[in-house]
This record gives sequence, structure tokens and C-alpha cells, in this order.
Amino acid sequence: MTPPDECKPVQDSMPIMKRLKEETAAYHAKLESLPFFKMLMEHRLPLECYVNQLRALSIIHGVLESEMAGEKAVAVFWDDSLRKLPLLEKDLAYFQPRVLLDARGPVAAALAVTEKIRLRRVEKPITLLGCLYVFEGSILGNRMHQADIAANFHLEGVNGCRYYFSYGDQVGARWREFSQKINDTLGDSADHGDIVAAADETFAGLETLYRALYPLEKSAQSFHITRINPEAGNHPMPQDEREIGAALRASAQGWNEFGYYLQRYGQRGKRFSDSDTCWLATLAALEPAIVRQQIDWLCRVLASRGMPTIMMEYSLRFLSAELAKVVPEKQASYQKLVDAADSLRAAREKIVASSDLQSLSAEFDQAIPDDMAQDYRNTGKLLVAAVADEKGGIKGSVAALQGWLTDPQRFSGGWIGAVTSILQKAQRIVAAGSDQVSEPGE
Amino acid sequence: MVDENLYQGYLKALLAGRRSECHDTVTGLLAAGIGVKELYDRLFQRSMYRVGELWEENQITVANEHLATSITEGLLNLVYPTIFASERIDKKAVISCSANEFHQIGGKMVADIMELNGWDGHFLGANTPIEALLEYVQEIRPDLVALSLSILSNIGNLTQSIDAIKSDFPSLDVLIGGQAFRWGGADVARQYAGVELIPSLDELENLLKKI
Ligand code: B12
Repeated sequence: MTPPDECKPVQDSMPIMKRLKEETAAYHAKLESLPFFKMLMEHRLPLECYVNQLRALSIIHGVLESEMAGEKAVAVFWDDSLRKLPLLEKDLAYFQPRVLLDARGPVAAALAVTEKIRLRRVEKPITLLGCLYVFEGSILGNRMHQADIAANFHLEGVNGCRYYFSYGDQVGARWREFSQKINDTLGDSADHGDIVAAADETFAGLETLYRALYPLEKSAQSFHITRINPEAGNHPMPQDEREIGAALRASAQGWNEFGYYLQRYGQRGKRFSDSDTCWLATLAALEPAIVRQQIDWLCRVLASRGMPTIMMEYSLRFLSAELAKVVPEKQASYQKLVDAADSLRAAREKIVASSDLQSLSAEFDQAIPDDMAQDYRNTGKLLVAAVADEKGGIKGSVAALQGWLTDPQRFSGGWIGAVTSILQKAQRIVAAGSDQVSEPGE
Repeated sequence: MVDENLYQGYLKALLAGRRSECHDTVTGLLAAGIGVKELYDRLFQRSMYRVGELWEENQITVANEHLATSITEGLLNLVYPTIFASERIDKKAVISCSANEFHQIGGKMVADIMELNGWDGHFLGANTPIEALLEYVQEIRPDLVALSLSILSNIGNLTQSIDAIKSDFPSLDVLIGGQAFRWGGADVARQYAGVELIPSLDELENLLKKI
């Protein structure tokens, strides 16, 4: 038996990158030997396998990248140039016209990997580096396969294989830089073992994924919500392409109406709006009471995250109109969405009259600096609506909006004053209104 | 047994991801002879519903929610010895979540309560496609099927499963349940003969005693 003191120092003094390489080598080799890669190298891989791979990777990268970017414990290792999601999205967009369905197996495998990533962030965030190691390392391997991909699918240049061409001609330099940073920063920290375990776990997840990618199970294919938003998780979406298109147009119209959304939530937020609107479209098939219940739930979720319910009213109306345009025969079902919007409006008007909402919103537009008017169009309405949401029982609705809109790092004193003032006025109106409507003895 | 103090302490540990503390609380309760149903309802279900509310109110992240789920799923295993010690009565049930339904803790509890009452509970887990459910029913020939639904907007998948079961096995009884029905959808059961909505584990146990 080897005495413990003979092997331990070797382990500890070994740089983490070397240890990662050695201890995951077998996994790595196993992955590369799977039929998916064999078919790819023989240029016989079906296109739907490749595209489903890109989609599955976009689910994983979507989550990994937002967890890495938001986590202090790994901040020194992260910068936006490591993001692969934008490349994957471009590749997917390239294949978009061919409408290849989402295969259930690979999506499930990718979601399982993201679940582990999310857990790592709460339990031991430094171990996210083990996951990152696997994907950064795979860039080297991808480069070997890029020619195969181009040949297999008759691609020109980097069209459709930008992900495989990550870092362009910097691929070697970027890998050395990554390795160096990891080695230097982690030194001989006690976390090495856990980081290696995270890499192993990621490889195991990828093995499941690549086994599901080839051969693809044909019967288990449909549109999955992660094609709209890689971070959407797992919820229903329409299976009729016309309805999907309508939902995306409605989502864009909603964002166009209120400038604040893009300013605050950016493209990632827009993707959530797209996936949520797709989900809303599926509700039209349900009983009105269920529609209402589900919409109320989403309103609570969104309002507590800074997205007041008035936006839902607009979205539902846009959505219903867009849906009816492309699938007129289902107009009666889509009307349920308008009915739900009407009842949201009625609930809001019980708390704040529309005339007050309009006049406060106009006053706000007068008060804010001119150069903000376009980027933040209709923000006054959102502020008043948030007060109504709060009064209607959605705790934290005002704070979720106010906190961001009065952050001095982001906004001028004039703007902040206008926001604060409109909120106070709306709160006063709401308080006065509730005095009037409350019944004696209530 | 699960008093307010114990519950609050457990919830705190669950939200903070302190696995071993949660584990100790549960082994302590089991050692003191807590009933499985009480453990499930008053500790696991109550805390997971709270986790859901906190997520809804944006007070915890998706990751906290996933961690709490993973801890709870691990703790369910501690109950095995109690469950499988019960006397068998030669009855079988297939328990499943409908297609696209990924919430499986409730369904797992239903299977456990069946086991505890002497049934063989075959739990098929989350997101079971209809074809797989039918195949399994064909193979096992259960005395009843129990379906769990958490997301009310998935109700279409549930009715499709019921339709398929009723078409292939017209006389097979179907129980439906799950938190989706806290919010609506109760009339589904009334649309079919031999389909019953069971609102809780207590009611389930009452029914099993009658069969
Ligand atoms: C954990 C969790 C998840 C996990 C589930 C993992 C797992 N292994 O099960 C994951 C991450 C997969 C998940 C995903 C999603 N979730 Co979720 N989730 C939860 C959470 C926090 C806990 C669920 C739970 O275990 N509860 C505890 C169990 C014990 O309770 P139960 O299921 O009600 O079961 C009890 C009874 O109902 C009964 N019962 C259950 N089935 C049956 C069947 C019969 C026959 C009988 C007799 C009795 C019975 O027995 C149990 C004991 O009493 C809930 C919050 C909540 N309120 O529960 C949200 C919740 C259910 N999820 C929600 C949402 C929105 C989602 C997602 C859409 C999010 C997303 N964007 O991906 C997806 C949907 C996935 C899908 N298609 O199914 C919402 C649903 C709201 C709605 N619109 O209806 C909730 C309520 C959260 C919230 N407050 O907003 N979720």
C-alpha cells in the first residue's frame, strides 16, 4: 500500500489545469468516441443532429454564462468575450429557414446539465470553473471538427459553424491565457478536487447529451421553448408556426411600447418576453377561469421583478390581435386573452382611475429630461401601474421598479426626482381612493 | 410533531442549502415515530410550497429552488424502510406525471402512501409520454392509475392521458390529483366516468382503506 505521504504532495503541487487534463482524459476520449463524432468525421451526420446539438449547447451556454457573469466568486475568471451563446444563436439563425424540430432527448439532457450548473452556483460557486473548463477545452476539439462540419453540411466560410470557429485564429492563445489564469489564481487551493469533480460531472452530462443526439429518436420531436429562449426552462409553447410567429411579433410590440424594458433587461430580457408570450398563446386553448388564474400568476412573478401588470394588458391585446390575423379560425379562443386583459384593466381601474393614470403619466413626461423621453417612453404609466399592483396585493412591485429607476449611478437627479414624485402622487391617489371605496365596517 | 419552531428551523436550513441539518431533522422525526403522511404534508410539502412562493415573490433564485428540491428528494429516501415494512395486500397502482409535467415529488409521495397501505406503487416519474404510460399499464395491469398534475396550463396533457387510458382500458379507475387543482380544473373529473379527483394524501388514504 502506498503510504499517504508519498502520493499526497504530488497531487497538491500539481497545477489544477494539469490535474483536470489528466483526471478527465478518459471521459474526454470516451466522448470523442461516441457515434455522433464518428458520423461527423465520416461526413454522414444528419443535419438535424447537428442543429439539435447547437440548440442543446445554447441551453447550456445560456445558463452557464449568465451564472458565471453574475457570480462574484468567479468574477476574476469571467469576461464577456468568453460568451458562446451569441455564436450559437447566429448558427441557429442560419439554419432557421429549414425548421428542424427540437428533439426531446437532447433538450432534456441539456436541461439536466443546466440544473447541475445552477446548483453548483449556490452550493460551491468556484466549482463552476470545472464546467467552464470542459467547454473552453472543447473549443480546441471543435476546431479539429470545423472542416468536417463545413464539408458535412456544405457550409461556406463560418456560416452555420461560428461556434465551432470560436476565437478565430486566437484559439491557441486564448486557451493558454485561460489555463494560465486558472493555474495562477487557484494555486494549490483546497478546491481542486471539487473542481475536477465538476468537470467530470459535466463530461457525464455531455455523454448523455451526445448519445441522445445520435441517433435521434424521431418520434420525440416538437418545438421546445428553449428554441425561443435557451434559459426558459421547460414550459408549453404553441406547436403551430403561425402562432409562434404571432407571439414573437406581439412580444416585440410590447417592448416597443415601453422603452424601459430594453433599457433594463436588454436582449436577455427580450428572450424571456418572447418565451413568456409563446406560453401565453397556449393559454387560449384553456378554460377562461384557468386562463385568468395562470395570467394572474405570471403577473405576480413579473411585477415582483420590476415588470408591472399593465404590460401584460398590452401584451395580451397585441397577442390576441396577431394570433387572429394568422389563424382567423381560432379568433374565438384568442378572444379569451382580450377578456383576461379587460379584467386586469378593470382590477387596475378599481385602484387607480385611467384618467389619473393618463394625467400622472403626462405630468411625468413633462418632468423628465428631453433626451430620456424616447428611451423611456411610457415609463410614467408603468410607475402608476406598479403602485396599483402593490395595492392589489403584489408585494414589492413598487420597490422592484423604484430601486432600479432611482439608482443614482444610472440616472440624473432630475429624473430621480420625477420618478419619486410620480410614485408619491400615485400612492396618495390610491390611499385616498381606498378610503372612499371601503365599506363601513370593513 | 412538526411544530412551528421545528418547521421554521427546517425551512431556514433548506433555503440555506444545509443538507445535513435537514437530514438530521428528518432522521430525528423518524426516530421519534412520526407518521409518513405528517412528515410529507407538514414538513416537505409545506416547505416546498413556501419555496415556490419565495421564488414567485423574487426573494430567492431558481438555484435556491433547485437546491431545496434536490435536498427534499434526497430526504424522501429516508422513509423507505418504514414504507416497505408495511404488509402487502396484492394490489397494484401505476402512478405517473403527465407528459410535460416535471414536478414529481408529489407523485412520488402518492406512490409511497400506496406502498404504506400495502399496495405496489409503480411510480413512472416526471414527464411520462402517453405511449410509455399505456405500455406500462398494459404490462402491469394495475388496479388503478394515479396521475399527478402541478401546472394547470398542462391540463390538456392530463386529459389526453385520461382519454388514452379510458380508450384502451375502459374499466380501469383513474385518480387525479396535484396542486394544479388548487387553482382550478376540477371539472375534468366530472367529465369522465371512473375518474376521481383526490385533493390530499389524507383523502387518498381514506379511499385506499375503502377499496
Ligand atoms: C420544485 C419545483 C420545480 C422543479 C420540480 C423538480 C422535481 N423533481 O419535482 C422544477 C425545477 C423541474 C420545476 C419546473 C417548473 N416549475 Co416549478 N415548482 C417547484 C416547487 C417549488 C415545488 C414543487 C413541489 O415539489 N411541491 C411539493 C409537493 C409535495 O407538492 P405537490 O406537488 O402539490 O404534491 C402534493 C399534493 O398535491 C398531492 N398530490 C400530488 N399529485 C397527486 C396525485 C394524486 C392522484 C393525489 C391523490 C395527490 C397528489 O400529494 C402531495 C402531498 O400532499 C413549486 C412550488 C409549489 N407550490 O409546489 C413550483 C411551481 C409548481 N413551479 C412553477 C413553475 C412555473 C415551473 C416552470 C414552468 C418554470 C420554468 N420556467 O421552467 C417549470 C415547469 C416544468 C414543467 N413543465 O413541469 C409554478 C407553477 C405556477 C403555475 N403557473 O401553475 C410553481 C407553483 C412555483 C410558483 N410559485 O410560481 N419546478
